[in-house]
Amino acid sequence: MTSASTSGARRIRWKGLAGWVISGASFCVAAQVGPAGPAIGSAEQPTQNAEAQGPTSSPQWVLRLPSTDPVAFKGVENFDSAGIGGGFIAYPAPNAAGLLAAVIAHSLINEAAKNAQKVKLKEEADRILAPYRSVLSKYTHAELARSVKPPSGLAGGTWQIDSVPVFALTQDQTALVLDNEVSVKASGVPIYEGVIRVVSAPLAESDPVAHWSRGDGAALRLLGGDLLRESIELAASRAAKTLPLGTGKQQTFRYYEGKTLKVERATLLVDGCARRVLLTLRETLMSVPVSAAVGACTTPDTGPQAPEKKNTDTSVSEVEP
Amino acid sequence: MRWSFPTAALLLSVVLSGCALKPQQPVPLNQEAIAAKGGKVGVAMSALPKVDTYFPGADCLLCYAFASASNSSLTKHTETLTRDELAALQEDVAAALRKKSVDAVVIKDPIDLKSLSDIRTEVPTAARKDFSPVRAKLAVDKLLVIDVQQLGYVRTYASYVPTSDPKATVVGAAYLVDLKTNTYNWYVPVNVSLSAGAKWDEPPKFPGLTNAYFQALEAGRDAVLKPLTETNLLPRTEPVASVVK
Repeated sequence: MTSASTSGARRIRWKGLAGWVISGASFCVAAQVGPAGPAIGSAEQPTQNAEAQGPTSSPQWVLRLPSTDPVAFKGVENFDSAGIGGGFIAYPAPNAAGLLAAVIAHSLINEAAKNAQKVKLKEEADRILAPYRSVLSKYTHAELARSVKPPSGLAGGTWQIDSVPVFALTQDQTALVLDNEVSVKASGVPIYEGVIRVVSAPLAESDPVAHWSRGDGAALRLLGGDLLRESIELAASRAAKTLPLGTGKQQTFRYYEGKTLKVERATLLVDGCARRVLLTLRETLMSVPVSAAVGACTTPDTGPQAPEKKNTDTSVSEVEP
Repeated sequence: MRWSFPTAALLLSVVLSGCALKPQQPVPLNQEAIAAKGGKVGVAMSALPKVDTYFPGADCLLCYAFASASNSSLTKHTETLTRDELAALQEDVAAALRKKSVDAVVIKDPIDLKSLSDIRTEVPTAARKDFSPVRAKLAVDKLLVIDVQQLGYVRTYASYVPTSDPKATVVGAAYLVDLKTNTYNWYVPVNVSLSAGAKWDEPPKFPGLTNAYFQALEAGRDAVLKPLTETNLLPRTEPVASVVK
């Protein structure tokens, strides 16, 4: 995956005070790749002016997304079947040097075969995107960025968020999974870096292709924007240390990724009504859906859900450690 | 009489294959066997194996030594992994049976299956161990056995060369034996093998593989518990491994 710090720049700037400036005019495609400079395109002039006012008590923000379009999509992969079998091999080895050479040659051939198999598995996983190619080819980072709202809970200063989002569609086509490689800098100092995974609630439509394709992929774009917004919010919360640290006790959690029951060993950070936020064993953040079946909520949170219908069959259940 | 090598090899293979028993095939759960009036059911578990690494295909001594050495950090990591989720399975199975109004008791001591004599049979529902000593000892009508044989990580080899990335594994079986007839009322093989995804080589904590290990534990538990908690069971024709992968 491309490093967030070298992701190039499609920038959106916000300023604090009464409200955040966020509109189409805030976007700019920067030609250079690298850290955000103070000057960018003319379309962003109003925000530049705001930024040039000097330190204020309210934070100023820059969000940078990859400069190359379209937005990255793939199919959810599964490497459980990877491997090319084993067994005893009789090496043609007249002496120790010959044996070593034969083993090295075998190892190289074998490694190439394993890599080829993984590439093939990825290609097979990506075939699920075939019905959506025309929609996804027009999905730009500028459009994606429009859905991002200013994250909450941060103190003053200048903040820069670099984001490299990669979306994956489950093989049953009922959910999207975002892996967003995010780095957050406060006044140029890195304060958070990591991959944040956000899993959407499953779609309950009987014809997911028709659902996602309708209106030139309106539902797909809407959900993609929601997932990105959730990930940026989590990154900002983590950077600002407003996200709970959790108990530190690792537990096994179950959740649905589409129609597939998944398991994650993690620490619970936020136990919301609609979503849970977990700290994985890789110490990355993960937001997963919770079904209504788990328990009644008095203060429902608003995380990314598949548009329209909700699937009450899905559940996240905590397994006692 | 002089034997040519191909003839001798063919004869030897015929003799050896004649000795091999077919692996035990799944037996669908007989719902009547776990009906409320089906008698007392003991729930036993064999001693859990140590969480370890396995290298099938590294068959020669030097090959195994090589495989063992090159995966030593992963083997060391297995020492930190817990088995609590599987240990709790025995109680969970008993609880699932009690929910069906079955008189279920947990047999606290691990069952030593090796101490039971083998029965060679090709009858699909005939138990391959003689459980008659257990009936006398435990005073139960049926025995549900959870037998975990392999736990940890498996990485296949072709002699010295790894042919797969390590995968979390849980291998074993669960079965219900009618102690009066020594036949299976249920037999489910468990063969879980789960990858860490695209990235696995992350010493010393191996977070991806650790996560896969706990996923495998849950998949193993589900393979045993689901048939006991489902209300309308369909005949199971495929090994559970294909379901839980």
